[in-house]
Amino acid sequence: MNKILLVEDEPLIQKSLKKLLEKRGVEVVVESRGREAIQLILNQKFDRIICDLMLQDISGFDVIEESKARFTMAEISKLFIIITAYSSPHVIEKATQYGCLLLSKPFENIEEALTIFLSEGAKI
Amino acid sequence: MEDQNPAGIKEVKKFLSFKSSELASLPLKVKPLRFTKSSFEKKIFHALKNSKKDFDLNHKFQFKEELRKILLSTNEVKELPQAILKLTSLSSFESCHVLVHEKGKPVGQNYFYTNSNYEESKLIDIQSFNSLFSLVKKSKNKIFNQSLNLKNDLDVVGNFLAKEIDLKNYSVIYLMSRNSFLPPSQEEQDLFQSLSIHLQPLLMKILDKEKNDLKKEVLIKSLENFPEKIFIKKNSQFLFTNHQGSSPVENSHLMVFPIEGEENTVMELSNLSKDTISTELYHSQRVSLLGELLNTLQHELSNPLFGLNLTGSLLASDATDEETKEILGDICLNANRSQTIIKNFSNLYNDHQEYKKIQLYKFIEEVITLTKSETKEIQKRIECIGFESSDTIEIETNSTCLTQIIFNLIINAAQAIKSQNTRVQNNRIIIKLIKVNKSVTIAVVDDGPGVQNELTSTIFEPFFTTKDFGTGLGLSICQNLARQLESKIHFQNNSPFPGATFSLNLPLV
Repeated sequence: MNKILLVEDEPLIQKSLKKLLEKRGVEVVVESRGREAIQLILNQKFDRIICDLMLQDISGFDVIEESKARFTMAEISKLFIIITAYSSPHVIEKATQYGCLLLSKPFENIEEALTIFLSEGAKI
Repeated sequence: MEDQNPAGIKEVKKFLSFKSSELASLPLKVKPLRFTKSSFEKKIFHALKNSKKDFDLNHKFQFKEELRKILLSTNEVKELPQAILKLTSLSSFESCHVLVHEKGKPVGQNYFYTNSNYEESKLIDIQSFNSLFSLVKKSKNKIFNQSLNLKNDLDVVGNFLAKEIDLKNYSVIYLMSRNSFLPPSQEEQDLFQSLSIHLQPLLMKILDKEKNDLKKEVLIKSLENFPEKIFIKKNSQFLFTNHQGSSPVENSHLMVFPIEGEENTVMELSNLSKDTISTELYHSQRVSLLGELLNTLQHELSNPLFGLNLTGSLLASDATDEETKEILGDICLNANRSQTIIKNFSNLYNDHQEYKKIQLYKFIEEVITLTKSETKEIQKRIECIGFESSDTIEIETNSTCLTQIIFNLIINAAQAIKSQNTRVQNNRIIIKLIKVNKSVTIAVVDDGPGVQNELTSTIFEPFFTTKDFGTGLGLSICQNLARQLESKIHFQNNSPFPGATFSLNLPLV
């Protein structure tokens, strides 16, 4: 795990997560807008993409959908981890369709969350 | 056959060709035979023709007579198919449908009758009706057969006749079938077509009547079920009431409306019923609005609070001096607390009306937290009486309802205390959990002024209040909520001690 993309529009969460992840020795690219995130995903190589669902311009699911241009469903399920404050049954069901892991904000245990972000399989 | 006897065939062919050539060779001397009528023959022919006319006229007259009988005897559309089948001139038909659609309605009605006394009335969706209607309208001879893809809706076998009638507010199709594949005769077709002229006024009459009857019925039903007492009087004589056995005179809360177009007629409305529906409606609207609001608030606050928490803990772990570390720790703690509070609030006001198991002691503790700002400085305590441990008190209930009841009772107690004096440090609210057999009584006890004896019977009534800015709904809502939990709130003054006690009893798990 070398390079992580963090798509999150809440400035405090973005900054802190970036710092916390960097402390664990990975390079972190941050982006708060969905459309820009899609460009980054299509043009750069990331080992993990942590994506918030409620972005200002588009939803996190849109970002994942656009990523299909480059990745297979199997790759997407391993690459993406969804973080959201709105974990309604509907959202959880949709996340399951992509096979992605979903973490609800606030994280109950930050250390555990960081470990999950950095784990290769991304499945628990 | 030909193959079996080719020789025979050849012979016949030969013979025929010989004959025809022989015929052709004959000279044309003979005039071709012509049918000529003698005067006698003419007379007979004429008489026959006339009698046919008479017969036709008779027939038509009979038909009209019969129709008139139908017009007089039919009061409802559903009787119409049977009546049409009774017409002697159309007696060869087996079944008759009358399809009616009131314009603007999502469904039409299909009335159906067969000579084997089978009667049916079912709904037909508007798409099927419209496609059938336009199909029938376009057709000239009005003959159709079951191969139309509408057969699902119609139960018709073989050929059938159909004609449309377009009324102001209704579209009507009537159709008849013999349930066979023989096409109807011209006469039958004519009669069938001419039916529509007679049916049109009849349909207009009975459809309008049906609609008015329905309107009247609905109006009477809604008046009868109106939650308040209604009395309609003409010259002080009762015409209608939804409340038998009581007269409005005994009630003081009366609203009187004159009825337009009816002289000396008034409708009196009394709104003294104890379970005022409007109270509950008002309350449930408020609760659902509050629930939505809290949900939005929770989601909107959740992100920034989590950000605060994350940043705080990150900075705290980096901080070198103890004081900074402590302050950052406090920031995190408070961010967490805010999040928990808002989450609890929206949990309390969720829409789920389901019963679930709760730890009563913990539950009351949470409710007390919610009342913190109202009950500032007043001492609050939970007392368990008859229970071995406070952790074992479990009840199964609708927590949203119960929260609102306890919350309201505590707020009421606090306001009562504050109405009495401004130095409330020595006052207290005690929530007692008392074991009574297999149930628990939750009592909210305060040491405020209590309730004046002459008011005790009215405190649960809606809109009763002694506060300057109260709505007078709090206790009546609590009582309604308690009823939903199949319980009841009781009240008593603590005399000779000061204050009042409100209590309700719920079964233990």
